[in-house]
Amino acid sequence: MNIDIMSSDKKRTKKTILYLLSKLGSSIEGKKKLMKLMFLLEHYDLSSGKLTPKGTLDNDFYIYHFGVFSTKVMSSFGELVDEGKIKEGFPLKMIEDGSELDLDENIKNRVDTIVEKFGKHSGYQLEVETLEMLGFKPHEKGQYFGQDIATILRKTRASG
Amino acid sequence: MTIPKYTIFKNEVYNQLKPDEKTLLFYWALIDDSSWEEVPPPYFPDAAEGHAKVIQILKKSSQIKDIIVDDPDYFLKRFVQGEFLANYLLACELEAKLNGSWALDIANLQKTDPPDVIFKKDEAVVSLEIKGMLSAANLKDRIIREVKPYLGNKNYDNFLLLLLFPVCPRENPSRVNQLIEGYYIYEEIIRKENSPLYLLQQLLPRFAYSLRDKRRQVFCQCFTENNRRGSGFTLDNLAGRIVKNYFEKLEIA
Repeated sequence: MNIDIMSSDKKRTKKTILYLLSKLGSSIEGKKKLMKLMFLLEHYDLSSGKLTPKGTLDNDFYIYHFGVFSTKVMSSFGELVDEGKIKEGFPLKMIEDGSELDLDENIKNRVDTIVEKFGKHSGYQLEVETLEMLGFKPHEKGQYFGQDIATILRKTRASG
Repeated sequence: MTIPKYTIFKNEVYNQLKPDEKTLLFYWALIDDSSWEEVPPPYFPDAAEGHAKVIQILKKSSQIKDIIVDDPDYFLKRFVQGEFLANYLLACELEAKLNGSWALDIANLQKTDPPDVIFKKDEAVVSLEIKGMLSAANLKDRIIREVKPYLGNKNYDNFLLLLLFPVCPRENPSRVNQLIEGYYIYEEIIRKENSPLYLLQQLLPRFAYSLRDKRRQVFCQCFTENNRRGSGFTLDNLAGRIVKNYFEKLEIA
């Protein structure tokens, strides 16, 4: 994986969100779907089809009421709304086209593949799928409430 | 970070609360701001202002104040929005209304495992589960995936599922309360399909709903941030309904 992809950068997260939304087109839906796709972008290993503790954009995710959630991603999303680049609602509306943004090609390729593989799934489907990828069922998420994903994945790996 | 003990919360916060403060606390305990996608932006409640009021009230307890100061963000995420506050408030209110006739399981209350609240009397156990939400999107699937797996547990033979909807500013609480009255839809999920007599019930309608089925119910109610118009969309009203329409009518085999 390219070293650039690994560095943490809010600006890059915001560009990635815009690029991701532009790629989703008519399948955008709302914040939940965006959040789950950003999670897959962060932790889904395209070659193995499994989750990996190593993150792509260094956005920390943890388990919350509706599955995987990142305060950093939500904060970046909030800034894009404040800047008038995205209009809140269901579905979200792109005000600024993100398809031609200056973004690392590796990230663009990852986004393209994630959208191709998961873009048609609903936000709720992705909520269930991402929990199951982590190794537990939706009714068990309370046991992991507030725990960060990297730790959960490392524990799962150690016990597996 | 430690979660405040229930007895400390009860003695140092709940017992000092004015009715308006209780209503406000329960309202914000039901709102998870990560789920706001179903609500149009003009209807969003002001979370920053709401959470500030909640923290101010909870700081009535010096012990809880110390926990808040230690890590305010985590406290908000874990205690206020992480179900503990809603569960603690409901438990306090029910304890007061049940007047010692049922005993609260405090150890269960301080854990994250479901059910949220348990009351016991002799051999009987009543379990309550709160689902606070802003819309009913995917609610049927959520109940099937998140509640139903637990129904085989004996603690769920007497089970009350509470579907609680905080009302956003500019919404009409009475209208919302009419819209969310879907208890009969969701009771079907937690009743028949889990009965070993399910097939028999399908064939012989007169056997529909076993005694255990009757003891599994769903209550729906909406909540407002304040009760200034006296609409009664409050914790006090909910707890009263639970005691009158569930505990007092409970037929235990």
